[in-house]
Amino acid sequence: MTSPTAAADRAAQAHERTSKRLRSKAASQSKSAAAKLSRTLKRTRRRSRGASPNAGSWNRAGKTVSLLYKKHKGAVRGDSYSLADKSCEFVGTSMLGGTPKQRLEEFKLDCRRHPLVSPDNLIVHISLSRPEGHSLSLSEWHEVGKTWLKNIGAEGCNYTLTRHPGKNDHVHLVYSRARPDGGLVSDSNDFWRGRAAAREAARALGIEVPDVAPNLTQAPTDRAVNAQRRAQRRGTPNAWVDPQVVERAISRAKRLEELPALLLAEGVEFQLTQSPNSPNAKVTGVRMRAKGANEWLAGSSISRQLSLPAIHRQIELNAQRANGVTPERPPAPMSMQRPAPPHIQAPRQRGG
Amino acid sequence: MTDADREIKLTVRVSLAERLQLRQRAFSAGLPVAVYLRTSGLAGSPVAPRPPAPIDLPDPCKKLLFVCHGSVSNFTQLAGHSAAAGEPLSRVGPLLLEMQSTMRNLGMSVKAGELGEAEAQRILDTGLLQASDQINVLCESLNEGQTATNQTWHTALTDLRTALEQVK
Repeated sequence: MTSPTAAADRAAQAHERTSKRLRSKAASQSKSAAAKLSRTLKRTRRRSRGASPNAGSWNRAGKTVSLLYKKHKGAVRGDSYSLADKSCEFVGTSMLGGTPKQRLEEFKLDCRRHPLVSPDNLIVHISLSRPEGHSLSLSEWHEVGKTWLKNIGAEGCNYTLTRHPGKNDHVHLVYSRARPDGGLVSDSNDFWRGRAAAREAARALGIEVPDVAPNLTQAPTDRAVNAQRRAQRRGTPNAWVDPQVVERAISRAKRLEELPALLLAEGVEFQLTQSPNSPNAKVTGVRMRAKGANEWLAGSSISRQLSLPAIHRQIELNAQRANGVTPERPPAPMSMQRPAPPHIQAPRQRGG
Repeated sequence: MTDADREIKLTVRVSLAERLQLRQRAFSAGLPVAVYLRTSGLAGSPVAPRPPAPIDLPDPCKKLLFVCHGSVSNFTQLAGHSAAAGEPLSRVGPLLLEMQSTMRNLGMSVKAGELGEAEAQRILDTGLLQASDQINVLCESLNEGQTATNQTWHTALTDLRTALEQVK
């Protein structure tokens, strides 16, 4: 398993490579192209900073998918694409043909049975893949493919299944929507139905991924990154504070006035910000910084949980609990509870 | 039957002007001409019949298709077993592939609707059913790890080969 720092560094290197290539390409282009390039670079930088340690299509949303379903184009060629790879393994078929060419002939027969349906639409090419480290055997893949077809309503249809083993173990399933009874398998809403069929197949065959998704991390906010870079340029201490430290202190406080002392013990300076234009010196927010830093950071620019209203809510809840008052709304059952907020990464040192 | 009674059907692709000219000539010659209009692009091009759905096939055809499917799969497995058994069984590899190809072509003809009910019944009656059953039994026993004598192989393959020769 790669460490978060290594993953983030790799992402940064990828961003550097992309920016170099794009800059050299756009060197002689117009002003609008340069502006577009700038936007692209900003976008890729954000992505690279936000890369989670195990980033992939699996758990970007904090969920673990046991069978990932994708739909591909170019199924009119049958399974010749799937078998073009050298490392591929033929899993099984319901057709007579022994070679891709022979199977294509059979797919063409299906196309002739449904002349009003475009071959592109009649022959469907999908893939089902497993997360890294959770490969399946050939017979298991065959069962998965057959169950998926059954779930989608294509039982008895012509299909061919090819496995591409490796780090991203997956199978390519090319099937015909022509049913043996002369009907047609519906392709309405097929993205969602395909996903549901994959989930059902995984559940039915007991191949769900047992371990939970890894802890996700979230990129620091732009303001936190800018402050860190300013501090690095000026050679001053970084103002960024770990949101988890602040959250721990807030969970102990029963009044807002207690909070500065609690945080100071953790090495964090805390202040309430007041509107300069307001005659009554109205408190508008909170700001904090690491002890000894020159610059302040607004609480919400460190984490969304550290805004003034959020802190007020938490302190009020602490006080209620201390007084033995139960909240009006009982806690939601575990299945309905939101996942814990991701851990926010510290801004990286540039050039480090 | 005289020439006047004979009906001549010609399928030609002509433009509108040519068709009018043709009708005029035929009228002046006293010939009755019936003109069938067709879609311009499809006139004269042969349209292949739509293959039947598997459920619409007659029973003998369904049975034959089932036999072909099973045999094609069995031959693949037998080829593996024969190669693993070494000499002299490995020599039957090309024969197995040849018979597999024949069975596949037969199955494709059924799928395409080119084989009628009577023809399918005739093929089944040639002993193909019994021979394919023998092959199936042999394949199952080999898959279960049992050994088969060369005589068993010989009998099964010869019977099927004989049946397939009658199909041709």
